[in-house]
Amino acid sequence: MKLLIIEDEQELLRSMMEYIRGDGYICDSSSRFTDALNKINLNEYDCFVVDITLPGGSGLDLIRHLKKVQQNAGVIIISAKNSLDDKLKGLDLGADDYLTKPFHLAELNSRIKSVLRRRFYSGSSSITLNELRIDTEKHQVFVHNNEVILTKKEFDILLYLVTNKERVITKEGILEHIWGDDSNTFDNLDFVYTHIKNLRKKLIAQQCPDYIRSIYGTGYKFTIQ
Amino acid sequence: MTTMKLLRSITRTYIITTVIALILFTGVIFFLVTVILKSNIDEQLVNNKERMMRNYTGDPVMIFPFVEIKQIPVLPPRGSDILKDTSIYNPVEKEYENFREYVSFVESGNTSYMVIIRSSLIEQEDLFTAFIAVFGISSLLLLTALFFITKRTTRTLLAPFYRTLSQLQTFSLRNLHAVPFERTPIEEFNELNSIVTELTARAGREYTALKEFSENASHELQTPLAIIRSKLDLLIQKENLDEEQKQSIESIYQNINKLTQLNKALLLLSRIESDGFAETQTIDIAAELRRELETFSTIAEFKNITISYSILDQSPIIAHPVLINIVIKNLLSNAVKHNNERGIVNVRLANGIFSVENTGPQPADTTEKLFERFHKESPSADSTGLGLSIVKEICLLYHFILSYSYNDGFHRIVVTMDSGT
Repeated sequence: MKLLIIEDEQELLRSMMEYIRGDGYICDSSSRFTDALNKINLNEYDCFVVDITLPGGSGLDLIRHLKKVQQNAGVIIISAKNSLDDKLKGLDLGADDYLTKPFHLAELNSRIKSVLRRRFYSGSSSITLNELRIDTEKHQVFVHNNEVILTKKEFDILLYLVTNKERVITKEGILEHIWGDDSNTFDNLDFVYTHIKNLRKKLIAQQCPDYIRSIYGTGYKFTIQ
Repeated sequence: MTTMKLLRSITRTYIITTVIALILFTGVIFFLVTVILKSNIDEQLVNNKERMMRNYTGDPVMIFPFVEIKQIPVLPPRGSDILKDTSIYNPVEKEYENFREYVSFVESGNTSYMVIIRSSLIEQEDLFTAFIAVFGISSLLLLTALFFITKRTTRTLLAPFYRTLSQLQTFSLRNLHAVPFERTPIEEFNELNSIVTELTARAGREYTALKEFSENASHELQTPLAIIRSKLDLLIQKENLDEEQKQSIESIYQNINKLTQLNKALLLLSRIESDGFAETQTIDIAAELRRELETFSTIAEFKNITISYSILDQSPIIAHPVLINIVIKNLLSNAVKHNNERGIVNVRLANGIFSVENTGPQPADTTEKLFERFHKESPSADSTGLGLSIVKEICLLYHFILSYSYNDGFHRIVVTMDSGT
């Protein structure tokens, strides 16, 4: 998979690249409008991450262009503005998702994967890790082919952890992922703890090894190593 | 200091000065007229005496009470003549009457006489009565006329002033529009209006600049926050962190989160204030509330809080869906967040009135201070102190009435959405 990240803030760009490359993706970057335009015209990508406010032009114009040149690619908008207008305009232009700064890198990663899954693995929508199989389309989880009945929140958390496997995920990140914009209404981290406790219990009950590790003071890590 | 209307104050001053002036004026006139009259009467009395004595034959005369001539043995020294007021009993009218009396001593031949001539002052009394009547009636007429004229002229005269006043009353920095003033024939009012226009325009410019500044500041904060967060996300991936470092990172995380929320809330506030949610649609608030309660029941259950509710279907309201959602969410989360362990939340929606009650410790301030920005009852770490002021701002925008009370251990926030329209 090949990605292009278009973001003018160097430090943020570097962080995003480091995190996403960790999953073995090829990742190009661009921090200027014209440079991005050239890269879009010259190379083929599977997914674009586009910041709306760029020096030299609007990210929305880039999306309009790249949707003509590379119709199949996924597009995720990242913006400092939580503007419904921009969001609707971006989605109208064919963007798949919209993420408001500041975001957790794990969140960006999970959004990218979700877009790639939808666009490129439409035939098989399941993720398999040893005995664990997650059907992302039907929202079902199987261990040794036995279905594990999870609540919607538990499923979301599991998928979030799995898409960011081998990474430490913070409780705040999980909270924000499952509650979205409302996370500040529910800023109760114990809530996350309870959900994860139940999730683990249900998985272990089906003889699934406990892949979810608590990392003291920070959060959780889904690890199969 | 007691205050009164300008019009009343002006009218009152006018009337008081007029009454005083009228009284003084009448007094002076009356005094002058009596002095003149008296001197006329006196002159007449003296003349009459001279005339009488010229043809006097020597018999005693007694035409009481007008003329008396008596013989006296000795003539008093010269200059003993006197003019004075006196009153004499009138047996017909059965009352005392006032007279002017001239007593003089005359020598005719070898005989001395005392001559007393009197003139009735009854005319003067009539005059006095007439005077009072004329004074009374004319001053009454004058005062009434004065009262109405002042009232009328000042009302038309002050009309531009009152118009300016009412325009200033509705003035708000939030919905700035140039305050239009018509030209008036009064220079002072034109001056006042032009100053008011300039003042409001300047206040508006400064308010807008301030608003833009805070909005820009919040926007500018988003990027560094995003960078810090991303660096932390990478930092926690490091395998060789010790416990102490992890704890520090966790603390940084929490505070970055808080800062992020704070910034989001500030951005939201400035967006509401700058009409960023102008577009509206019809919203079924009952359905919206039911949906939110479903979400909240999970977290309430987790905190052992009982939510009970009664929701009646409402006529749809016209507003921005995001803002209505925020009002509901912030009030519910406030009720859950600042509750006791095993507390109670009562939610009610009926006839355009949405109320949320929750148990909780008695606040130090039972006033509406609660809705002020950054007002915090408890140093709760998971609260920005902006949730309720956002609700207040939204209520202001849609002219909802927001009220707070604390009774019998219950905090109660009421939003009256349908204010009789």
